[in-house]
Amino acid sequence: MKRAWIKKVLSVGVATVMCVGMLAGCGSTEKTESASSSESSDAEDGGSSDGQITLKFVTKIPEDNRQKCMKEIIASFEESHPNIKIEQTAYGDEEIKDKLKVLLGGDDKPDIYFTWSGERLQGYIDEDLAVDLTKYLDDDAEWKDNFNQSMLETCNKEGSYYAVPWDYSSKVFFYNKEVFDACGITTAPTTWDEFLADCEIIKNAGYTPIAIGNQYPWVVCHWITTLNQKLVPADVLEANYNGENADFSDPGYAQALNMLKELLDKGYINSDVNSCTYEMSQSMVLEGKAGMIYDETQIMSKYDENAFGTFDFPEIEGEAGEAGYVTGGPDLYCVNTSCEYPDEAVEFLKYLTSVEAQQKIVKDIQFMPVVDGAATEETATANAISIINKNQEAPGVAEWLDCVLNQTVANEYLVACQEIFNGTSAEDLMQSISDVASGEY
Amino acid sequence: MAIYKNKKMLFLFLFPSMLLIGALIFLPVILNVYYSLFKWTAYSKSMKFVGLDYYVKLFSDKNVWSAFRNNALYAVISIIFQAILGLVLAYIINNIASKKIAVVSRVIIFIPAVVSITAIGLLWVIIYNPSIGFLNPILESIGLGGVIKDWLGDKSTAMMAVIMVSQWQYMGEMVMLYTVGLQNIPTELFESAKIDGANSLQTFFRITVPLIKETILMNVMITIIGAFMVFDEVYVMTSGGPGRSTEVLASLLYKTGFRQDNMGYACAIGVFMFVVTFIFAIVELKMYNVKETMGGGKNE
Repeated sequence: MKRAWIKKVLSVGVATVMCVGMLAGCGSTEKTESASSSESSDAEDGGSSDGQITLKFVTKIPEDNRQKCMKEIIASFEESHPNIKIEQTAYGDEEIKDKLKVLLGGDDKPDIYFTWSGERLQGYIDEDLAVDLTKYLDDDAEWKDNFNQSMLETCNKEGSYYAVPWDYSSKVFFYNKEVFDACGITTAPTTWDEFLADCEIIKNAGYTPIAIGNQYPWVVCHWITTLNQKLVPADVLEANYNGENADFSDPGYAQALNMLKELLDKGYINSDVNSCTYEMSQSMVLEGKAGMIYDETQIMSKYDENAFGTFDFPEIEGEAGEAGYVTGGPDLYCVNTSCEYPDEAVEFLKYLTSVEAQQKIVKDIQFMPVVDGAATEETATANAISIINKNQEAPGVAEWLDCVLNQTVANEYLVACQEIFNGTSAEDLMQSISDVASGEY
Repeated sequence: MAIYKNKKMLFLFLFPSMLLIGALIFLPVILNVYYSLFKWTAYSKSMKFVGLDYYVKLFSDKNVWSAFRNNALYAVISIIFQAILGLVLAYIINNIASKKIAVVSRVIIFIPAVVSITAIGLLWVIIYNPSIGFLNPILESIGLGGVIKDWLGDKSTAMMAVIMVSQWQYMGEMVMLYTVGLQNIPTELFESAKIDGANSLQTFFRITVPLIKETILMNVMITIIGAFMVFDEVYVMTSGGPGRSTEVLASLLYKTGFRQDNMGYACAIGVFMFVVTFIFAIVELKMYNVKETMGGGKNE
């Protein structure tokens, strides 16, 4: 009799455990009591109990040294604002392109989040996901005026500011000084013809002249950003980019793609350009297998100044576009309209863009600042300061092509950035971009 | 047993799983069809009704059809390597090789199947790389230097390169499944065939294949459906590139929804994938006579 009883208890027990297990699995969809969502419910009634406010902060800087810097900035903010706690989550560059959209559409909404400028920001504004910060800027003229104005203007959509810049990145050529010396090149090229001549010399000496890691096509897209801006008249560019004109038939566009094709055909770029990763292309230059790379100032710390030099993208003879522009874009932070404490969120943004914090990012992680007074002799190398000053004086910014364009058109352009090396003609590629731009999206 | 006759108990036992399957599989499929009728993004607050616009677009979209062709290529190659060659390999290991070799070979072939797809994808990106990978140097050393290419960067080889990684990974699983089927064949049949003077080839085609017909069919269907739903390998290795040469329906769906901010169209592509795989599944169910197999099993 006892055996039957034990059997019964055991079977009921097992059945209960299995049911509880099943419910625990479903538990995360219910917001009230399960452990996995306690964090978000805490943040929501964060202000209630003891005045403690928690702000969720999404960034794009998961790398170790950058995280260290950001955590220190957050820590010193929390010290001076004991009632505010910042919960940071960082995602990588490719990851955040998808992840942020899901976060914004889901229940776990960030209060302050990173975005690129251009259409990426516009998308969030259209869906009412970014707080209008104009009055905060107008109320604090000192804060507003200290910004690099052309970077701040990227946050201005239809007269209102929906984000603030935090740092910016621009493109510059890094070259391996040893490789250049070995090839007998003493001065950096300033025109496209000089550039091609140098490539020929480097190639004949047995090195790869230019390293491009286009596994993710944003790499070549950055080249196209610069080339388009130089080859296409400014007003035509503006009309095409903001969607007014869907016809990308200006010969400058096809010329830009063809120039890249020419580089590949002449053997000036590594032949595995479409499968080579960005990191591999950087290694090629760092290890001295390749001579040059068109990389971002944000990653300057990777290229030690003693071994690597920099030069600007060469000017092209007969270019129809504007000269001297900076190719680059700011990293912006927006405040989510769902944030319950926008004033405190802006306080944090003010701290992130204060001279103190900006000096820190220049010094610790060699980021480009967006405020005046951040790049000084104590914080930055001479080379960095000269780049920053040059950017400050540039007549304009050519923003990243995949941010400035409508996302559907941008996607088609990114495909073109790989297809050009596959053998498809530049004219055909620009035609399909025009088709997508004029279609319903 | 009495329990199979008691309908109430049956229902009680089935209910939890039916609830789970309903909520996690059927409901999302139905919702997906509903959402494909609207224009919306992952972060939009409202949805705009567009009716069947996306389906009209889908049928004339050359990107969808080139992705479909890639999936079809995937299916054909997978059938050849996994369903057919997998059987041949399983037969060789089971019936021809010695016991020791058989055990060791099965383990070696199966190991890739248990490693994460992401890890394998990243591993092969490095192996295929012309500068730092070891595939091209190996080809050169055995005199095949002429076929060296940038496997993942050249649009003529990229899709096959990705497909072959899948075959390498999953052949082991197929060998395992077939081995189970093969070991169910009574050994007396093989012995009497041997006595009658049949060689390996004749045994294979006259005895083995007819007896594991159902297993073959099941594996072909698993392979086809898997080939139309493939995502991980493609996304990790090439992300659909270079250009669109390795784009498959699932990666196209992902990019449409999360990069192009067109969730409605992505849902329509999802419905299309569902319909394709559903048709294959129905065909399989019709051919795989469930009642006969189950009934046969019970009486013996």
